[in-house]
Amino acid sequence: MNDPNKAISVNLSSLLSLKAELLRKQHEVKLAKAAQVSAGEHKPQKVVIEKEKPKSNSYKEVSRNEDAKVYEEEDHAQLAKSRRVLEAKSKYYDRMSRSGGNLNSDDNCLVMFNRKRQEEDLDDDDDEPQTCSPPGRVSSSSSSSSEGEGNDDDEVEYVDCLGRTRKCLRKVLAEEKKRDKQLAHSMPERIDTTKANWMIDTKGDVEEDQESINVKPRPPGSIFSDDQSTATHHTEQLLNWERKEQENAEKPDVHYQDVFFDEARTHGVGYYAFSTDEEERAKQQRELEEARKATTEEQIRRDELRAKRDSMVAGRVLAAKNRIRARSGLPPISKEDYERELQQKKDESAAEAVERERKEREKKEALEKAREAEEAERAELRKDYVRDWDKEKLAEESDEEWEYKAERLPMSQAEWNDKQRSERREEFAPLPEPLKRSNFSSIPEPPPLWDIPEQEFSNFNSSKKQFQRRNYTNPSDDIDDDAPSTSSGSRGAAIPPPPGLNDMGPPAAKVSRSQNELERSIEAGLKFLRNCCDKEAITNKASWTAKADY
Amino acid sequence: MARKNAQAEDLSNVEFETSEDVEVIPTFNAMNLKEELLRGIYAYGFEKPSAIQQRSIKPIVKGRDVIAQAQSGTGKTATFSISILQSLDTSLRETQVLCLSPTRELAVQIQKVILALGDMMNVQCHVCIGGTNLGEDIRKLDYGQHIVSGTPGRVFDMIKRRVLRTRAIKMLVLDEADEMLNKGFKEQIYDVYRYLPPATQVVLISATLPHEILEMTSKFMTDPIRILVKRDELTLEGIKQFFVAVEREEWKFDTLCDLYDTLTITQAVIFCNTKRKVDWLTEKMREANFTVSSMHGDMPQKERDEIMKEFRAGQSRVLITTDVWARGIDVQQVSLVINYDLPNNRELYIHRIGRSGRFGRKGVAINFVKSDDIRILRDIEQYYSTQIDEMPMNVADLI
Repeated sequence: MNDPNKAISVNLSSLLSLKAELLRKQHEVKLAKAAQVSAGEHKPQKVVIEKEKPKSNSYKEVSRNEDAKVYEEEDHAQLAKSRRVLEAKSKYYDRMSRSGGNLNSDDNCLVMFNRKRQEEDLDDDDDEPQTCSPPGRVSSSSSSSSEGEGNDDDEVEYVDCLGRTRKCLRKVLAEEKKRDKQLAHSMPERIDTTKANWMIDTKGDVEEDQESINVKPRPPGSIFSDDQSTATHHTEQLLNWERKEQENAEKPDVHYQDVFFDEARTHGVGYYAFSTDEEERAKQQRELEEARKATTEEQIRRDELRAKRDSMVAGRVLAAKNRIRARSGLPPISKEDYERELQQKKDESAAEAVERERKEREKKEALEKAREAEEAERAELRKDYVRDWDKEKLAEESDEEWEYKAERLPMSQAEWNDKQRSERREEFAPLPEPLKRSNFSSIPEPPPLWDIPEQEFSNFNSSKKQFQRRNYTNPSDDIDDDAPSTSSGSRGAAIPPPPGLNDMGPPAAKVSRSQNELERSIEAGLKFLRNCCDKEAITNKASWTAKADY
Repeated sequence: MARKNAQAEDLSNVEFETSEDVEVIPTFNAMNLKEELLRGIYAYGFEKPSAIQQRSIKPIVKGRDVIAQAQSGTGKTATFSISILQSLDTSLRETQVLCLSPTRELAVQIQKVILALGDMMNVQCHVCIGGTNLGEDIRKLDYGQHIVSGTPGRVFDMIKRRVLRTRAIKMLVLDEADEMLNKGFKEQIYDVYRYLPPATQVVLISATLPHEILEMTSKFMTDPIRILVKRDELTLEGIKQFFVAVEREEWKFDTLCDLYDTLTITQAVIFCNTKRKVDWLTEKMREANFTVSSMHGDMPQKERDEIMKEFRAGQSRVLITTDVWARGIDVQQVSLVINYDLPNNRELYIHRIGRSGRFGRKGVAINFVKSDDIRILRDIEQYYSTQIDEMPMNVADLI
């Protein structure tokens, strides 16, 4: 009950149904009183739905009621008791007549309370198959009353597809029912069909079976369905939003209506909710543009009309003037003269204003100019100003204008390896495949590495620094791992490598001076290589290994 | 080094004031805006520019760096949105403006405002926030977006992936600038800034701009124009502030229950200081059969999104939340803010109570204070030269 939505949902229709309910209750009370007088004639309240209007009848009833009052005073307690019993009976009767099944089997009762109704149902189905309310109530009311009086001014109650008891004039009953049927049909579209909307009786006979099991009196339909429908409405809205969200993900262009999501927001009068469909939207915008053009054109036309009218009025004034002049014997003023005169008058008054304005403007302009000059100066200063956070950018690119450089993507291990290799100085590279095999003790000494000049290391350092600073600029040269490195060629090994082995790069990595043994063996290896080279170029690893092994 | 120190000291003593001769333009028509933009502004419901709009739009459009401060709910988002749209070249489908904000919800809201104001211009604005699908983000940015509104983390990620190209960016906007330049965010902002062209126009916007934030602006701004508000003018007349004295923490809950009917008159936001307390209070309110919704930063983004939409659509009326909601969120119907816990600093107080009383509407803020909290409340009262009275019985009439 604390649902805040409840408070707002008090609309006209629910008020009306509340009133209908009230009238119905009053009617019931009246009937109950009547029943006290003639207990045998008691009818189940819910089935009887007519409201009597004819004057003669009501008059009679009034007198009867007076009798009842007197009677009531005489034997109050007894009456109350009988009424309770009757009410209980009527409730039971009502229940039995409504539920078509086991409550009213032949074993329990002597009377088949529901037989009449079943027959009527059959009739009804033949007559008006479009009835969508619980057929028992409506048809009984409509058929019995139409048989009875057939008065078009009578009010008739019926139960609509939402389970609400509505009242209307008999003559509009058919129309109302038709409308109700339409509503019932539109229900499954408006409400998620998978959700619990069982209380909406779209077919007209769904709930009868349920009722037979559940003998409790039905909860008031309006309240129940309200709760349920707001809930379904809510989930439906959520689904809609999600669908919209997915659509937006697909769309290349997203506009305001796409992200609006039913926000409760007031807009200006000029607000136009464009369609979310791109084509439709373009069309609407075009139409709006045309409408705007038409409006401005209309405004211009009106201005012209007004000017025309003004000139006509001026002409009439001139004519009147001339008539006066003619009467006093003066020659008429020509139209041009008159206009010139008017213009002059206007100009005189305007001239002063213009003069004043000009002076003011000049003053303002002078001020403006001074300010502009100052502004320009400041702009110049601003141009020269380097923000703290920009200093790094400018230091990076002092020689040229700043240019966008994207950060590299996170690299895969292979890419990273390639990059590192491309930047590596060849002399620190791991030995190429064939040379590795040369590390046998039988191989002569390598060239003395300590011959490499000291400068080499400083070079290394500086180049490394450079690399650090420009971490995302790729040096354009020596990208290829196997390409002959010029730098290593010039300052690499003391002994130039054999021509055919250029691509293998310089030989050893870090070798300490103390490892004379190893050095000697490397040298031997090189010598051996040269020998091999002189004889024939080593073409592949297989041939080489074959030779080395033996 | 010594000189640098001296400079820093100098700044701390300087009192920052609104720049001299800031032009005041009284109407939108006089601002020389694009025809389509002007129509969008009127369609959104603005008729006359607010004080901040009268002063800040022109300098931003002119390309100056601007620091703009104004009271909550006076159209700051619209101020920079209008300026952005005016200086945009819609025929160039590349990111020209980057707009950063501290929360995802705020970034989404900014996108919405920009799309609304630029509806007639067919502007493209993408929201780039965490907790969403990366692939979708990448695809959207590949289409080409004029404006990107986002939170620093995801935006930086997109820049690093080279999906968000910064080449054409000419303006960086920091909404809720004091929060963005605070400890938690400053490094992230710097990360993003490093990838922008040097001397990119920078615009800072917030309702609160503490001195230390103004001090550091020279690091990334060039001779900015300042439009500031004195702190004694920072609270709005339209927002009435009250307190309810409770002796014990437990009594706050009963007080809240008593106030529930008042809460649901329009819409209300209840602030707690921790996510756990939000969960606890929500649970307790629901146990007592009150309908409330709640939101905080530990919820999955999808859920946060749904709750925001529901609240914006008026489907839910009472929202229990943390300071994730304190800044910038604009829901017209909110007219009541409750500080279930007092905020942790003075700035947050201004932002929290500013969730009500949007753009000239009425608002009420109610603070629940325990006896030792009263001192804090008095401090806030004094700092902003405002008045916080004991809550009257007829508080519902003020909403």
